[in-house]
Amino acid sequence: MLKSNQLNVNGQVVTFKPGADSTAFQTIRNQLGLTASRYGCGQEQCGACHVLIDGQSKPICQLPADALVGHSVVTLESGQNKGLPSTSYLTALQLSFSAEHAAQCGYCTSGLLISATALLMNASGTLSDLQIRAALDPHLCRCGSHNRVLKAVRKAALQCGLKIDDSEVSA
Amino acid sequence: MTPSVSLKTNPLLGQWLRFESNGTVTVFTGKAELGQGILHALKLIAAHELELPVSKVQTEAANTKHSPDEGMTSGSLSVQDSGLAIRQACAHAAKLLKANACLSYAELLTHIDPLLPIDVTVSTKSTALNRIDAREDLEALVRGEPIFLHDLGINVDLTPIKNNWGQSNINLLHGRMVRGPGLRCTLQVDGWLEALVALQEGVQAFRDGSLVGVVAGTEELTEKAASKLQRLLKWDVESLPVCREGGIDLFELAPAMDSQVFHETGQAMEAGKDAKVYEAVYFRPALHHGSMGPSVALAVWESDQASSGLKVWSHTQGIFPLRKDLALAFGVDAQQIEVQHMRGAGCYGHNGADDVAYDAAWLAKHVPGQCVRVQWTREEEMQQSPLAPAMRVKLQATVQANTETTKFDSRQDGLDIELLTWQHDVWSQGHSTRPGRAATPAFKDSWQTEKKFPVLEPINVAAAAGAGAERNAVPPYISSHVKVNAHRLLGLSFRTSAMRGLGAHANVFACESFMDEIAHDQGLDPVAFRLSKLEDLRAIAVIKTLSDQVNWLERRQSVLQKEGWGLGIAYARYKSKGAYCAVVAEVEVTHQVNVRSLWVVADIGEIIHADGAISQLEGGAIQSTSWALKEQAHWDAENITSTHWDAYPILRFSEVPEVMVHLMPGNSQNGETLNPPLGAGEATQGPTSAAIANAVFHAVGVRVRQMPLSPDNLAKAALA
Repeated sequence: MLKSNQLNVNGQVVTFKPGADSTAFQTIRNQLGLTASRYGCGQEQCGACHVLIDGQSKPICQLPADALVGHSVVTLESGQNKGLPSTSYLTALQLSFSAEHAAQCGYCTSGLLISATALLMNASGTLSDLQIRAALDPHLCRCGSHNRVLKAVRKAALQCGLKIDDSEVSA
Repeated sequence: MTPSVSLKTNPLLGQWLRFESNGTVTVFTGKAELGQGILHALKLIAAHELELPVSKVQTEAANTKHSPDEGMTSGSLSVQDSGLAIRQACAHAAKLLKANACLSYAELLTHIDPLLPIDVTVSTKSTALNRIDAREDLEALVRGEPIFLHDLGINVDLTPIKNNWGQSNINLLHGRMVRGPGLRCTLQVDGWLEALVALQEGVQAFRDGSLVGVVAGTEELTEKAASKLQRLLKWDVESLPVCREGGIDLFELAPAMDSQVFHETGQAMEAGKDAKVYEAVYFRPALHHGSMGPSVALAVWESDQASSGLKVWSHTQGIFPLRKDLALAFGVDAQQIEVQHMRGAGCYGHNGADDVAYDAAWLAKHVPGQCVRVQWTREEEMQQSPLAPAMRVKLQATVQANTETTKFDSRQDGLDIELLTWQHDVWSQGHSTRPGRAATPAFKDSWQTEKKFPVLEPINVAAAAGAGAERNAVPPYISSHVKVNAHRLLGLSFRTSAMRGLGAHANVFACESFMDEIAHDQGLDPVAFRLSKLEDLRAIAVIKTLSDQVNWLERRQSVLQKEGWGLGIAYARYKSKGAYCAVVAEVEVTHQVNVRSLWVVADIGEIIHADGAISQLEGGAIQSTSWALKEQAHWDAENITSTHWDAYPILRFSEVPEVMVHLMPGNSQNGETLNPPLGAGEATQGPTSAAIANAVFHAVGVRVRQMPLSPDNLAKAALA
């Protein structure tokens, strides 16, 4: 049982100072030094800060840090922990994002990878193009790397043993 | 070849290259990595010329201490300026390596004088570079490594922060500016002391005139203190012009206007009695940069002495211009200031990077020896950064159809249609308030201080530098008489400045929509009409290639079989001397405009890094689609109100079209020589938006001349 000043982050128990930050985002970056989650808007409108909370991709820029207590938190820095259920999906996605050059400035990349990880990890058998787009829709990208990102997610999905349903391809 | 501007300014070999003892070569550049992959492209150029593997070449991020001064990273010029200078330096180094019979560049170190001028007569390689090596920084990005300036000092390990004087682990404080309720406001000083009393322990607040800021040990404390002061302080607010639709009224409301003939060629031929006069007015609203990461900076002063040194970390587009204006703002010698570039989120022009660097330096001056990090909020980014100005373009043309000699078939080609006159009038605020160009600082917040540096009126850069509001206002098409009038709006409260493409976006939108309108009215195919009015063979080749790729005539017919679908084309040569680019858009018009596919063909001259160039063109096309369909800044009587993404929507994953990009070969028509590189970063901005508007007309017969092509503007145009 974790104490009220302990969090489960990337499979490890870490201690934090409750009340020192306005948001979970600040705690994760400033106290824990996990800076892969990016500050984009502070209003849950751009997706740059997403992390996995109990396997779901969520923004943390307005969430109080205390709300993370008792939940499993996974950030992009979790790649080293092979024991996490998300790691194999995240690794496949990181490789395909690199291979497809699916970033220009890369500021939105962390959030996209987190949502794509949740999508692949929680998918059952088949994914459609519309499902992929819907999963990434909370995320904004200003450089215009969208199509490469979509391609990279499709490629990683196939590598993770999922099927892509092409019949539902949107334009 | 004439030496590049950067080489003329920085003529020494040692300004560009450093030969390391392990045989690798370090390349210096004054250009900034903005997310466009320029450092990678420069590295490829160097490796090719030095005949080294890419892994043996490294680039160093721009720093005013050791980088060549190359001004701004803007105007799609980095490959031409920095790339060609580096290429020449490397060609000279490769020649020296052979001449001195050195086995490696490490040996060359002992043979050359650091002040050796680069020999501009040494030939560079004539073989095409066209490398496919991937950007190495992608690995760090997908692993979420702390490579952004936003991460510096935030990590628990503070060692990355070292000041000029070798001191490490300097104390980091968080800073925030306290903003009044209006875009332009003056602080009522009487409430200041009472407000200070209300602040928590550990918070320090500072004021200079109407400029107010706080610092504290944590972000949370700083944010709370800034909001508290914001509530307690009283301000006088200057009203903003009443605005509709992103500034459609500004042209009537501007207190003054500077009108000039920007360009005039040829003479108007006498029009025959059957000549037809066309006229149309187009509009592009004020836009936000909308970078994903709000601006951030860190700064530290050595001590409180007047001669103290300042170090600033910034994601600016120009480390030297920033340094110049910081020196002006703080009254110190530029040599006392070191500006270190570190990447920020994608940058598409003059955003808040320089302003926040001033804010950090101003706050840090009050706490010498301590480093202050200022992170703007999303709201600040939208309100305090310069806007891309609203633009109005009026086009008039006289068109003569030589009906007497015309057979039906030749009319289809457009050859018997003559453009007798073409007049382009553009109204806009200036497109630059960048630092480094005036006698007083360009930082908005420096205008708030007691010293009251004057508010700078946005300017347009000279025609030779590509112009500002007038960029691409001169049509590429043959006309007996061409006249361009530029009307710069003066005295408006908005700070406007450069955003990707500057005036080219609205000017190309207008010109290419107008060409489409004339072609339609004359019963001509828009591709054939354009081809008949172009002389430049590379322009013709780009349009023909695109037309072949999309199977233009057949697709233009077949697409109409689907209800609401249409196909449109547009073309421009960026800045009239940069990359050639033609775009075809396929749209589906429902209650809104949906862009389904974009085909882009570009001639960017020599191709340095094809994937990087394709990324830039593709990304530019998607960004331009977002501008064309969705974007419009808005404000009320006091302040800009498009301060968050719900109020300023941009294109999302569910709305993004497919984009196919084709690059023309980088060599000349005879295939023997390489064409000089022309830059790729901004070429798609104008043609994409215009191609979409032309496709909408093809789909539903509605000519939308006002961007964005939103459901409201579509409905308004349909009823007009």
